[in-house]
Amino acid sequence: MERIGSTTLNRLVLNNNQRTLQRLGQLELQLASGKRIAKPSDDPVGVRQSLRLRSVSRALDDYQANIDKSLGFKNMADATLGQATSLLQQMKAAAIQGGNDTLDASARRALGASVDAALRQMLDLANTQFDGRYIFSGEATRTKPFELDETTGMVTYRGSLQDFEVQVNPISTSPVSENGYDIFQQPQDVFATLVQLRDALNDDDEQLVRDLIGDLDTAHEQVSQAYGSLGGVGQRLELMENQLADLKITIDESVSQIEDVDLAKVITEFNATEVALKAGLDAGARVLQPSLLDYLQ
Amino acid sequence: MADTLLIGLSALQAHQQAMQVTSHNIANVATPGYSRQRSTLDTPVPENGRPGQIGRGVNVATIARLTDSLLTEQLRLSSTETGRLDQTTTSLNALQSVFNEPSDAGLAASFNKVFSAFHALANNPDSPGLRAGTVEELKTFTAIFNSMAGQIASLRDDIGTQFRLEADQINGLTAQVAQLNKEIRRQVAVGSNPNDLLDQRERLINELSNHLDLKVRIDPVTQAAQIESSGRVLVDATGSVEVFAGSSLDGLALQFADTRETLRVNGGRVGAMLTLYGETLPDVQETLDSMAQAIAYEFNAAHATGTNADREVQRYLGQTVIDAANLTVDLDAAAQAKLDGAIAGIPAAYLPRFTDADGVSQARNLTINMVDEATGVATKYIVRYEPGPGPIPTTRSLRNLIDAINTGTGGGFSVWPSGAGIPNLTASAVAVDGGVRLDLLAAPGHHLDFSRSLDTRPTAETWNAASWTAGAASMDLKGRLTGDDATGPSRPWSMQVLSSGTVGDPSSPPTVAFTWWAANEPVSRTTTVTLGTGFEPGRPVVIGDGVHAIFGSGTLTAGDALTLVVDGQPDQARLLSALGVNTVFAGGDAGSLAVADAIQDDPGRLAVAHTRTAGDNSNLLEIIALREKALFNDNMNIDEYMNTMISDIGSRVDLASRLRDNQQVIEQTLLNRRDHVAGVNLDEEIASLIQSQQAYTAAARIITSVQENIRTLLDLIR
Repeated sequence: MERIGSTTLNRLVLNNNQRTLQRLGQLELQLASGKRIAKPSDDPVGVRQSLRLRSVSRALDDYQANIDKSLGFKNMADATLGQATSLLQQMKAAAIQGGNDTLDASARRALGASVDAALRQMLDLANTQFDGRYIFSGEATRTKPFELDETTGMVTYRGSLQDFEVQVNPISTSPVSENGYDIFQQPQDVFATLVQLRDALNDDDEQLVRDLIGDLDTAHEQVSQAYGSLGGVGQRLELMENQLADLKITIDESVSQIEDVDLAKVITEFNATEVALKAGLDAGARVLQPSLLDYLQ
Repeated sequence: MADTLLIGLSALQAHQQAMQVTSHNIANVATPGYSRQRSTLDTPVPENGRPGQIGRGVNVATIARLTDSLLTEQLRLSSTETGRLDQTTTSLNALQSVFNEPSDAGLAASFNKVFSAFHALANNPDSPGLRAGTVEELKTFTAIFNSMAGQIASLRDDIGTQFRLEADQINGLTAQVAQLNKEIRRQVAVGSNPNDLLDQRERLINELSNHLDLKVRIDPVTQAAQIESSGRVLVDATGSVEVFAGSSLDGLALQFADTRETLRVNGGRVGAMLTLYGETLPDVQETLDSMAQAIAYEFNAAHATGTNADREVQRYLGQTVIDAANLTVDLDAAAQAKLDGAIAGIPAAYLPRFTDADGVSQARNLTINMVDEATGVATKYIVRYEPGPGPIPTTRSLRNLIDAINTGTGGGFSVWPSGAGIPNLTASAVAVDGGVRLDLLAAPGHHLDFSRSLDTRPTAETWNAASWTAGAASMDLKGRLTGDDATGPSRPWSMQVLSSGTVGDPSSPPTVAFTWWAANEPVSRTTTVTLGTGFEPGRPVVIGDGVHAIFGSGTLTAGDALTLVVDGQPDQARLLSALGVNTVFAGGDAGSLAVADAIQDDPGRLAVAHTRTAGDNSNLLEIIALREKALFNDNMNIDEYMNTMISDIGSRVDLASRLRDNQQVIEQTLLNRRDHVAGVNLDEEIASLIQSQQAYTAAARIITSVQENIRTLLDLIR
């Protein structure tokens, strides 16, 4: 049989009381802050995950902003190329009309004037700006891409052959601007064709006008293909944006799961601990009090 | 009769003493470390008489101290462990709060913001507001690094201060124990039981054990305590030895005051402090430093070879200050690693790399573009390092570099194409406080950069001299080499005129052949172009991989040949970042990390582009890509490294507090077990008190009985 010292009982009651109070304090902090993790030692593995997820989430914001910007450009380019395509369609009609035997020189000159107007309009379209930047100038978004030399009738591409890109996910970039050279001058030079058409009309050269119809066809085909593929790019970007939005929701939820308290769980545990505290105090009081002195006269 | 009286008297005395011992126990029921005492009654030697031996009463034979020496030792060891864990937990908690994670104000959050700023800037590279904003984020980021490094350093200092206090406390305790030792020995020598003194000494030894790990031996005969540490006696029967808070190569050291010999302390508060000061905190500091260095190094390398369409820089002053005596020292990192210490001013992590992974010196290029402001045409010069054929590589010091730029050759450096150095550029070592800085100054009307931009017009020198026809059509190179970075020495691209003609003339177009290298490919490719319709002067002629040429009007003659300078990686040895030229970060560790002076003074100088074209954001994209690059241990990027550091500290704190909580439970258990033997039970003592009291009353009765007997006797005589 082992003796029990008087201090042993005291110590037991006090220590257990302290432990319960400490747990109660922890739970109270969680309830007040709403956070399960207040510092890394609360859950080192969880902290690592949540830090990583937080930075991914932040990066997703950046990618989304980049895609938005990209989409703005694409939509502008879309509208512009649509107009350019129909303009070339009109010019082809003008060429067919101009190649007609029945026209006389002055009629052809009138057509020539309209082609000249179309040429300038095409130039304007190719030099479209969005948000202060040229969309068909590749990387050189501050440089006007197409310059017409009136004397030679040559249009020179001054922009860059590289695309202006932005980062849309951790490993890849996406082009924002278009390479105007590849759309308007390569392999078929749209401007040169229009200039040739205008000059042929003004010179009353109906054979040349008829010959140019083929070139106009090619030009129209070229621009309309670029127009078509833009639509695909735009769709892909929108798809990417939706994926990113979904991913962000998932990630933010994961972060919350790791870091935030499960209120129901914590409140239940808090109540249980409170009951334990009271029971412990009650039992302690009953154990500590009686002694032989109570029973002596 | 007298004998009976004496028996009664002895009983009175004995039971009075027994009551005194019991009262002492009751009084000390709550005294920590108290061992209960028990008086043992015994009968004295009986008297020889008739009919046989007659007893002579009672006396208190001994007052024993009830204790368990094994438990005492275990409690003492527990005290040492508790001391160690307490100190460790407190300091690690303080360390953890330095990092302030997870939060929106910590290092990780600031790092995120830096990259958000870069993204926003990449969308709008020319915006002065965004450039300024990005620089502000960078400044905040470096400030957080500085603050953390400072806090860790001051935590370390605090431990140093506490350590000195520890030594003082240890000395106080050992002196007291020595005092008690003497007193106890004296008492034991005369045969008395110095129970309370023994309790007091046990308490002091426990407290001493909290500070450091000790070996304690109590002599069973003399009861003197001998305390040893590191095989040397700290306290014994004759006295105590003092300790001193000293220092050693690794950090703090507890030393004997007289011999300055270091104690080997492995536990207790002092043991914890030694580990924290010498290992834990320096480890964390080093991790923080290597993170800062890696970030600075990579950002600087990307930034130095970038440029900017809005700023025409005429002068680059390197931020790194190098000791003037080191001007002629080999700059290579591998070579420096074999010598003691890095070149002062250039942290080892930033030194340029002229050798490959096997330690073999390689050829390395540095590109400098000189732009003539009048014509807008740039000329590309390559400062080329060749290690030479022999086993000892040619020299590559800062002095060599400066000489090469100015005169054309210097050590293993030479300048291509011009053999007389780079025209319109002067390199020098400018004397400043503490050493020299590299200064690159362009002549008036010129500016320079180090980018891979190709807005260059090959000059007369690069045409095959014998065949260059005066008045030939000019050729400009445009764009930049895309695809993989060319990490090897740049390969010569060239152009040959195959048949003569006039540029853009459909009736007699010239034919040219370009020989070019896709980066890292072992064989070259050839592109042949006939410059007829569609290739009028001013039209781009695509060569390959992002490079195109634009011809001016004029003629080209068959046999003309031209060497083109196209580079993928303008600074193969990372010389620019080592010397602090066109860098974005300055400083060699977490405490000194800062944004480079030139960028702070003018945020517009952020190198956003790879070419001198307005709107180019490609260098920003390269910097953004650094986030995913595996910079540590070949497989961790910056985020992962940072997270690992933070969660490691969290794990350590968690472990330490769990161990400490466990130790507290162990200690409580030991104390309870000690109470079984040595603890006072009030009920027991009260019962004993009542027993003694009754015995005393009965003994008093003996005296009164004897008194009555004597009176009866006296009455007989009257």
